Amino acid sequence: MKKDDDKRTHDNMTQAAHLAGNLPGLLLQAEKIAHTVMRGVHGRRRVGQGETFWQFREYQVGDSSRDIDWRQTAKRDAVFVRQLEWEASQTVWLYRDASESMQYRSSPKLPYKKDYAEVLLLALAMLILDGGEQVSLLGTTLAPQAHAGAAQRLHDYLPGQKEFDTPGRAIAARSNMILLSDFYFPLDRVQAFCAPLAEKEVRGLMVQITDPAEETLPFTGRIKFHDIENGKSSPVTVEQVDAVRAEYVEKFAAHRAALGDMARSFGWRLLTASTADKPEALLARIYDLLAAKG
Amino acid sequence: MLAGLTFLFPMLLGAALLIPVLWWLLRVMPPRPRAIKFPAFFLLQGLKTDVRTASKTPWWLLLLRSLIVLLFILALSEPVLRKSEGLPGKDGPVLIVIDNGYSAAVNWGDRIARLREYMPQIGRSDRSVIFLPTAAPASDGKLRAHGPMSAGEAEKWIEALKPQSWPADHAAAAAAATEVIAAHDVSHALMLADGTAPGEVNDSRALLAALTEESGLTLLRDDRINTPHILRRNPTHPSELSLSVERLVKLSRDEKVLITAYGAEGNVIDETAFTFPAGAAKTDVTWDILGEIKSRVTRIALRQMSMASAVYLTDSQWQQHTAGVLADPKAKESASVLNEVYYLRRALAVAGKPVLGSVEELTAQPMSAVIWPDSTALTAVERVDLLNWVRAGGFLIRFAGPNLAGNPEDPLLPVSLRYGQRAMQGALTWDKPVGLGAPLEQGPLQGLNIPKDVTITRQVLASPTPEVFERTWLTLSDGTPLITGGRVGNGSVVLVHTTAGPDWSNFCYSGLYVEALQRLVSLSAGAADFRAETILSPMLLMDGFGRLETPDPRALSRAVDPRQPFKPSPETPPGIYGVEKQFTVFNLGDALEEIKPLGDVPSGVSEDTYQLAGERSLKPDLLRLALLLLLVDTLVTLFLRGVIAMPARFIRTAMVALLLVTMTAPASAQAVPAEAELMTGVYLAYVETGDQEADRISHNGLEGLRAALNLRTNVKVAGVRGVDPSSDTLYFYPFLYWPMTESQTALPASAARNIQTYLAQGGMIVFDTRDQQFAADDGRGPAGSTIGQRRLRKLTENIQISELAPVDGNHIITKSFYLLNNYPGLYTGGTLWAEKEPSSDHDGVTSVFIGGNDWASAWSEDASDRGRFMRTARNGARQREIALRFGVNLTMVALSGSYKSDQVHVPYILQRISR
Repeated sequence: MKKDDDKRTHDNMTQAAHLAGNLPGLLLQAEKIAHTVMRGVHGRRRVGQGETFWQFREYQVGDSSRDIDWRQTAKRDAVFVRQLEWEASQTVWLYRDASESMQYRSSPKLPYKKDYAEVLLLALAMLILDGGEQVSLLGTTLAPQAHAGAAQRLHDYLPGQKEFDTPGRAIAARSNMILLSDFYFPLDRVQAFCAPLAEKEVRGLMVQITDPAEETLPFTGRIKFHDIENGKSSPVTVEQVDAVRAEYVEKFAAHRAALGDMARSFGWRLLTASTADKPEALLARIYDLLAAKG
Repeated sequence: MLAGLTFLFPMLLGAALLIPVLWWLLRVMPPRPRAIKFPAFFLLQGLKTDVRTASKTPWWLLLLRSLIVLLFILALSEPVLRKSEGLPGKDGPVLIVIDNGYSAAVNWGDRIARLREYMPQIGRSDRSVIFLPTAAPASDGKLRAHGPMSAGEAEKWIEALKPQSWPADHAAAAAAATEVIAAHDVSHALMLADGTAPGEVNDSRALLAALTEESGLTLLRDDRINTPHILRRNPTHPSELSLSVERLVKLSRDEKVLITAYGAEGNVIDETAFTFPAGAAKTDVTWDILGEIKSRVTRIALRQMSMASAVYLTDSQWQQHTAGVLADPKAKESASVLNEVYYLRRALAVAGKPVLGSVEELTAQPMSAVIWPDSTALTAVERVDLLNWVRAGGFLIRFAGPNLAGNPEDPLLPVSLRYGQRAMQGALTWDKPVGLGAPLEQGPLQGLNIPKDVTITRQVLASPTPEVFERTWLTLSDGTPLITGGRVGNGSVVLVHTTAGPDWSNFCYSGLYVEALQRLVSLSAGAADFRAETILSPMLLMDGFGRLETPDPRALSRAVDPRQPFKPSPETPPGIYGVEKQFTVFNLGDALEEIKPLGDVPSGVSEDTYQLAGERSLKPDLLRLALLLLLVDTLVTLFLRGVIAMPARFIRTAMVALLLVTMTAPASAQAVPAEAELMTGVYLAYVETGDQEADRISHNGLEGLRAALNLRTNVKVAGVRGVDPSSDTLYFYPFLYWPMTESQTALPASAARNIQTYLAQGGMIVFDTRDQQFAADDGRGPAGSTIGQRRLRKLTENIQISELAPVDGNHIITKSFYLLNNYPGLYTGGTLWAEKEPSSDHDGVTSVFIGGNDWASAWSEDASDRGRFMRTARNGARQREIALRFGVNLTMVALSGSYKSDQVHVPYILQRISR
């Protein structure tokens, strides 16, 4: 399986063929998953600019006289204003990590983390578009898309999305951002990127996608580990994996905890996902979170 | 098995003590790590990665590796089974004296095997070897020692050592041995004796004594191995097939000896067994071989003995004698009983097919003898041509008659003739017809049966000159010559003083006529009177095993004078001397003295037998096993490193199984006969006769037929099988090709039932009696008279075959694929028999064909078979083509049955339509 991995990473030809063969599949797969989540325009359940009636409220000083609902006022003793539900469409910035570390699966039965993330991203985009919001890809030049058929366009732009901190279209204040990654890099880099956004009241959701093997280190015996991101860094030879497993798991959990802490410090959320799990459940969860947050 | 196990380097076994160390090392040194590219690499950095845990190399891998090392150590210590004791003596070369005269050829392989056994131990003791063969080599005839050489070189030298076809010379060997022992510091002598004293017994004793005294001697001799036989002409019985056999070892029980007669092509003509009475050293064999094939015997040999003295080349009969009859070829078809040619042809056909033609035609081809009946008139030019042919070495048999009587002045006569004829019975004579004279004690016609009822009414008379008497071979009862013979130039002319037909005598009706003609024709290759008076150069020489071979130009062999008594020697080995038409056979047996045993040996000689000690080095086996296990280890390591994926549990199971397998004796896989395979395609089959040569020809023949079928027809034949009717299932095969051989006996009941069932199921059998060469010229002959037919009858007596009839032009076989009107194989002519009325159970499809043309020999693509075919067949490639067509038709009949028989009616149907 490691061989398989190598091939996929280094052999462009094979990769191209693989991608060409797989991507329409990804779209289809994403669509299937998106369908499992209930569709429809989801109101933000709060007062705002929109077309749908939300509530009547007694007139207060400062309300525009245009908002007074005369019919209700006539029926009652007080003056009532009519409030509409807030329906301003928002932009959701999506990002999936495309680094080498995502090109990994510990068993041929599992999907690559990158594939998993892409399927998730596209499904999410479809749902969001269906909900009447706008979607764009972080770190690319793609303008926020609003129409329902934009999933294809996203799909086309997806290969162009490299690093999350690549300068791309500016992220507007108070928009949403979803980062799908394994976050196997130093946290200060995430911090440096996210802190200014958090100040602009950008609501973020970090989804850490991991392979089961990365959580448990299930290998045995004497193993020489190479860095999948950087072939030049000197490998680490573990004489006895069993002996270091506990320590590794601990370190892994610490990293995840630090990640969660950082997310909370911005007022963001961290979700964790394993490629061994079905993406549908995860998708529904993300979508609910998105809707609840408003 | 382990009782006789010796280690040549037992010290090395101490290295086995290292195995525990190795075990420990292997446990400490883990296998090479697997390499994995890992995403969460940064988490691994800084972990305590050098924690080592012991005993992680699996125990079975450790066991395997220890086993490999143990095997290598064992192999290096050179275990030897049944190690034989070395020869006495310390340093200095070993002198090995080998009897390789004619008498050593019997069981030669056993001798050499025993000799080879000494080589490793001589090599081990760092001694060199000197060989002294006791028979002089063919290259220069001088006995000499070879060596000293190392044991390794000696093995190669032994390879080239062959027995000679002349006796050994122990006197010369004694001289050579003394010389060698003096020159080299010989530590011990070993003699491989053949148990005979080739010359004087004292010479042999002197040799043994010299060896014993100078260096000490180990003598190998063995009555089981040393069983030379000598086959020679029975001196008291001049007939050709009366032989006397001598042996060295007088067995105390009756010895059964097989004696075989071979033809010119090496084919077995007849075989008989006789019994050597217990205790006798000599016995006579008179062999009542069938008359018609007697003349084809060229070589008689004892079947079990491959040695020159057990082979007897029959004199004068070596070559097939083609006799030509001077006659108008158009007269071929004439069967008039008054025609001389008719009688000549009938008489000559017994031995071979006579050729008819003019002088020009006959002298143009190799012809052993030309027969000139008086009724054939020759032109003056033809007479000159014929005379030149005779002078150049030809052999002419001439019959008298009115033409000769009127022209007695003729150079083509052995004796000068008087003018006219002598008539014993006529209108104006009182004489009675004259009978034949007394049988002849000597002369070329000796031993012939003289019938009493042959009378001569007319003859031509020889002029009474002094040489007439010595040139007369057969006389009438009144002493006048009937057959005379003499030399003309280099050739010979024989005159029969009466006609070849019934005009002048009833000689042509008698058996003597046939025998005399045959004898005369056979004389053409040089009988006593006509033996070349010149020196004869070697043509084919016999080697030590009794095989004839073309003389080696580097050999010493030289021409012999046939008038001198023959003495076998390196210069004059036994064999055939002369040229194509004029040659003489010199047999080893005839030239040998009575066989003498080696007798008592001097004291101080240690005696041993040729019994193999059976020494065997286990080193190669151990090394092979170790290398195999090493290979397994490599594979396992690859598995473990993940280069080849396989569940670990499986590896473990496999390893344990493999260890078990290598510990126990290797089991051999048995080939399963694939009957299912037989059902997937067409297979041709022949019946295995047990005669290897015949089976080989059958197989090659059917392979050739298979190639032809695949090339020419839509039938795709998948293969050729040999079947044993007593055990194999037959119904897979469209037909069985069944050649007759000498060794076949009546079928066992089970086989007969199997065959009968096969026929009842619609199978087809083609019996090939392979004996058409013995049949009469017109192929008819008395029914069932030939050898093959008799064999067939005997073989098939348990099988019910309905009445047979010759195949006629309307038979399905003539048109099932090709249109055919004859069915040649190696031989032509002959009748093909098939069932007269094929059973209606099988839609009238023939189930039995019987013929004698040896088809398989013609079908075969094998180079040697083709060579034989081209030598034997009359019409060469064309005949082979027709034979193949016959084979194709045969297969078609077998496969498609009577399908094509409608074509028989095609002309009739067309006729009906046109009307």
